[in-house]
Amino acid sequence: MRSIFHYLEADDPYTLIEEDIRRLERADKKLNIFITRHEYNPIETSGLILKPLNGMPIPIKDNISTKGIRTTCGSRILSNYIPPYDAHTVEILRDLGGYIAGKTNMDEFAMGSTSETGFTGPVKNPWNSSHVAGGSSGGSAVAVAVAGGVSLGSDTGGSVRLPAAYNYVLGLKPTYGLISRYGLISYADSLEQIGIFTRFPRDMAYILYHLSRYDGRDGTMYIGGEREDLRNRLIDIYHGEGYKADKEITIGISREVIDLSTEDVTRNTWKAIEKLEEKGVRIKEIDLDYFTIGLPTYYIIAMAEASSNLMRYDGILYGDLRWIGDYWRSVATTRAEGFGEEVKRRIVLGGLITSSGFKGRYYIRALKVRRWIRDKLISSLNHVDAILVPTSPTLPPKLGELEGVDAYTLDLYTVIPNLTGHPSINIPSGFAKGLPTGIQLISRYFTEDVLIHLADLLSGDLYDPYKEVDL
Amino acid sequence: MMKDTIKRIMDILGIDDDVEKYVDIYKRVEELFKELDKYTELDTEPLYHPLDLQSNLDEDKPKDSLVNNWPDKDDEGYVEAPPMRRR
Repeated sequence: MRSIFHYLEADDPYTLIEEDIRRLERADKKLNIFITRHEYNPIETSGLILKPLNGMPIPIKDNISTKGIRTTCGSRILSNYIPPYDAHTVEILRDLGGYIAGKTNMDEFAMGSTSETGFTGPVKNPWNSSHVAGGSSGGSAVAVAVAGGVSLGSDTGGSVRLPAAYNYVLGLKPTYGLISRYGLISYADSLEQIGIFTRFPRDMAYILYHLSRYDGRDGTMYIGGEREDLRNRLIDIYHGEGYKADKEITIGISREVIDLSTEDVTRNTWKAIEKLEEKGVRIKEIDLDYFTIGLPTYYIIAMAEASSNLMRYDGILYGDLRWIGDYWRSVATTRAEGFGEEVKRRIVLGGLITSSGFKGRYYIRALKVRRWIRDKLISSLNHVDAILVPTSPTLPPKLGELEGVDAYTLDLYTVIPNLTGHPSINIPSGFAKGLPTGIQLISRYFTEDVLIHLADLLSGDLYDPYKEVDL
Repeated sequence: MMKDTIKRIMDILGIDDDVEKYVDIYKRVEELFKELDKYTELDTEPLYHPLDLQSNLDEDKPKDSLVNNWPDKDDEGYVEAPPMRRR
């Protein structure tokens, strides 16, 4: 299983690149990872050799802009869109010598938890292809599961951590404002962040260090000094000097909240807690009752923001226009043919809950609960260094098993850090019935180093980062 | 009533689809959304953004130059524009 450090230290990167590209192609045929594959071109790659990443193939979620490479957001309405610029994160990866291997399959406009709603069909789980890969960044998670290295996703309500759990990889949603969203095609601005998939904790530290460079083009980037303090600590981790703790780490758990999961997930979560205790981490029971109100709060805010954001796709500003001689009928036809069911559902419901008569009942109330949840989480994290919950309440469902509203419950544990802006990570916690499970850790703002350190403690013990998928 | 409201929203948003379908979906998600009814007494300010970002935009003020010749202005100087969409 490939680490970034194999590329950083490679004598013959061409062999590594060709092996990884072949593996990704093979996996794509079986699992539908890519919407657009960027065909491998040794001449193009030669310009990347001698840069740090030596041409390492990096899959990018299809809602992150890539200059000259089609970016569809998994939607028919953008099926011909080729961005004229790179996202900030893509600029950095190209500067580092990364080769954009392709644009990964996803739920349409990142609205979903199973990666089944994209216009090119569902992504399949590499550990059992009759199950979903999780979403919405399913293609990016599967790419790292089969070939290692790194890929990018976006996380609005768990879209990095959930597929990470379903594919046995690390998936990080950073603190809101740490990584530039410039070039990320927006669905819910106040909730989403670009996230990272890797197999190895040191790889995560290396990529996060580089991607967290300040970018003035994103007005929501955090300006305070915590960014550089964190980046300095990340350097220590990826140089192998490890996390420098001044005291033992304490993790908060809630038995009631863990018990909301199925038996398989609960069992593996307790196994992870035992392993952490063995490693000298202190476990403390705390009250996490606010986790149960996250789901409605999240969906109201996400739908409201989606409804506003997706109005730009009218076929004139953005999207393929179906002109039938009259402006409004053309817009309606463009949207009817261009958007899938889940996207239309969220646009209409988002429009409804922000309309007069409904706004106070739903949207404003959800925003008030959001502040209450944030204050409660900050208060919890004053007593512990991190909070541990399962990432998903269930094992990966079968393809087609959950549709639309039924799938919302998969986000039970993951939406809270999006509402509050806290960093969180999925760490694989084992297998049950042949399918992966994961735990989610949430820490204070700008303490991603704590999360990566905890992943490092469990690496090779609770989970095997070298575990190969049989293709 | 709900059907009419959803139909009106769909017209405004330019979504051409079966209204009944959305009424059914609304009924289903309403069950989820109703959980917030337990928090009606919550005395907190709405949180629009996790970092509490403030809007740096100026407050809306009518500009006289644009509406000088408009026939019906209200007391604050705003005008009623014709509907954007043909009814």
